[in-house]
Amino acid sequence: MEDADAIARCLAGDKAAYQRIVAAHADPLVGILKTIVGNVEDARDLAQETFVRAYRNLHTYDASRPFKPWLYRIGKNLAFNHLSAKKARPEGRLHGRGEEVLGDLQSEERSPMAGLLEDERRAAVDAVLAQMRPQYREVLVLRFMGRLEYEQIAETMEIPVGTVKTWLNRAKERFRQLAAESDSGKEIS
Amino acid sequence: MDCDDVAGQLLPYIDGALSEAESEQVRRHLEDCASCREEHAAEVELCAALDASTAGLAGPGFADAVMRELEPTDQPAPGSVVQFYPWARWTLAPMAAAAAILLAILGAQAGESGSAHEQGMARAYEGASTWSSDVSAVLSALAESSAYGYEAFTSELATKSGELGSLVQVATVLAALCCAALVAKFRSSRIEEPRS
Repeated sequence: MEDADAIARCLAGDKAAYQRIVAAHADPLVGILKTIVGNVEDARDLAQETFVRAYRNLHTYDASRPFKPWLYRIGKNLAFNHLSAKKARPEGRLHGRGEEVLGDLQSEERSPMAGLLEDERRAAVDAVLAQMRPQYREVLVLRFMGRLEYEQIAETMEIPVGTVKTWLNRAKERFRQLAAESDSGKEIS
Repeated sequence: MDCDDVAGQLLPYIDGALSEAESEQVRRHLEDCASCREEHAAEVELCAALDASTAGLAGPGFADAVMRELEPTDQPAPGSVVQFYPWARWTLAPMAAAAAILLAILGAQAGESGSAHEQGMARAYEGASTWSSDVSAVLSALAESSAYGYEAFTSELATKSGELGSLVQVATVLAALCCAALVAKFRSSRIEEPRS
């Protein structure tokens, strides 16, 4: 287990080993946090804070258990605290109506032409996720962004494994439905 | 392998994270099960969509930024042996308790023999002062005190077993408190963040 090796090195004093952990988990963590807080800037800031806090508390991590659920729980809690502390954002919340997401995405830094297709695809996925129920969105991103197993999702969300499977099936079905409707240009009410 | 088993294996199968034997099992099931084939295709699309939505999302230099944010003095506290050897949680505390009890008993014995020695020396002095400067009498008294000391230790150990038992009881209680403190220290804890 690569995470366990890197963490063992960190605890032995090899700070640079932590950079490997950050590099391995940064993108999915930012993606997951983005579905909670609604924009990539805040998600990046929160992801940074998550990694810093995880490093300072690495001695509390139980190395016999998977690392990702532990890391994601820290990030989730920071994200929910952030939402509680922040006022409602009129310019767009990812978990609001789909069309509000567009205003938020326009504030993001635009990549060069070569990356435009990537941005459009990302925007399309964000728009679909925004229209899902929060619990379905969360279980979906933990599974397909975070690559967590059912038991790990259950641990992260503090729900039974059976509930994870049920919600995941519904989430996949809902995502497919919304994606198909988005492709066909229909508006979701 | 039934459909429920395969459903949980589809994602690692797509990621190439299964063993050869497990992959072969999934592949064979997909050949025979249209429903699971459909589910597999759907998960491939989902993975592609969500992977694309997160690729490079953290931005360039993210890891460097995290490392810069760590203070030069930031160091994770040394990991406990229980972090990497969970079985230690169930053996170290009882071992510590046994050691504490043993030390308590040995200490009690040392205390008892010490007091017997002091009593023997006091009798030797008394004998010497009573029998004036008679060296032989003093030597005899010293011999008696030594013998007394040994006899006192053994007899007092036998006769004062009640007191020793009380000492052991006190030592046991103290050892139990030490065990509780050790178990509390070795328990793995989670970071408890305030929830919204």
